[in-house]
Amino acid sequence: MKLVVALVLVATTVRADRVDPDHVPMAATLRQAFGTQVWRGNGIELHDVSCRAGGESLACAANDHGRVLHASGTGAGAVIQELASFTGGVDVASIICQSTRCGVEISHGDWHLMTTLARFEMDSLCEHTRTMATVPIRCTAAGCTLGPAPTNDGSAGSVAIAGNEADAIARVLARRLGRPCGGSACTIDARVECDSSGCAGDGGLTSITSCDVRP
Amino acid sequence: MKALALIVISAVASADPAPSSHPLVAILQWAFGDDVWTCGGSVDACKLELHHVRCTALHHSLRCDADGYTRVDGQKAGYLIGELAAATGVAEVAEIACESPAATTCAISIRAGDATIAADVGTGSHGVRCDREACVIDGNPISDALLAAAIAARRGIACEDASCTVAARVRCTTATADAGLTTVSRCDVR
Repeated sequence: MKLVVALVLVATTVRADRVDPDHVPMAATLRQAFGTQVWRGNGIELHDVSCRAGGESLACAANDHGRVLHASGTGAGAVIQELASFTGGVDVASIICQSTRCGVEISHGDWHLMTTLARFEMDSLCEHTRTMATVPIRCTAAGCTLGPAPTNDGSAGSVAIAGNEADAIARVLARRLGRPCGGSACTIDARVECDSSGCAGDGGLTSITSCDVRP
Repeated sequence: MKALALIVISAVASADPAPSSHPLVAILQWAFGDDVWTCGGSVDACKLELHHVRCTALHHSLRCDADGYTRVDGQKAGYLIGELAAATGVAEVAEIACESPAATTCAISIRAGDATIAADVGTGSHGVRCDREACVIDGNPISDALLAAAIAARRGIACEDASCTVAARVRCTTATADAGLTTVSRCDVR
């Protein structure tokens, strides 16, 4: 009897931890468009989400762990509506939902840049985080220098990064600027501003992250 | 009492369409502006008629056009595409006609004249023969110049002289959206 009660309690607890994806606005839209299988475990991970509308043709595509999924008609219209209201466009690099929260990365590498530039960012209401000014980044074979730019401790400083971290950020910048870059031959200069807001219009359940990368 | 009378007179004279609770109308009004309504002196006489509503979306370029001159860009276009898609599955329709902002119902024609044709002919497949003023549907006469004009237009015939006749096989489907407040019609005319 005790065993049965324990099993019921465990089952109830597990069930309580489960998120109903239909209660997560962005997740519900993506499941409706691309199929319920996009929700795996407790989340969604889609990359290269791209939509088109023209007359009688409404279509979206997304990469789900290497598999390209397609949506059309009503489902595509709902994705277009959601993306347009949150981002003003219909193409985004990634959408990741974990539990009840979803994040949208507008261009490839935005999340990476946002994290790397944390020291130069300030937070405000509505989980809104942004760089306080344009941050110059210079990457060479020896590593990357971020700044000088205003930092969140009130000073104006620079940060040096090296190794894999520097390689990764150099690759993001090169891709965004359309420049070839690889190995020790990579030298690149960029000016970056990032913005991430959690107030996307669905009760703060979806955050939008965007970085502007210029030469 | 005088003040109340003035308020009533003022409301009737301005005949502004009120913000609508009809989902499609609300988005059309938000997207294109209150100009989408044509009011004939009183609110109850307001009509919304948009022709060739066409939306496109590509990257960060979203826009919708209607009647060749009205247009809307960006976020509003995204909402309108979503609304049209939810009702019709497409982002381009020939006509949207709504009655009054107070008790609004809308009819969407996917192709020109679909709502008129479906209203008279009904769903399913029917044989229709029309002259300039009236039609015969499966042998039953019906006097509706609008239906005759719609059938002629879909067959690409001007039908201007009295001897004109147009015959067609018509197949219509209808669906409702917005909890029954919007009727969507699609007809094949061959």
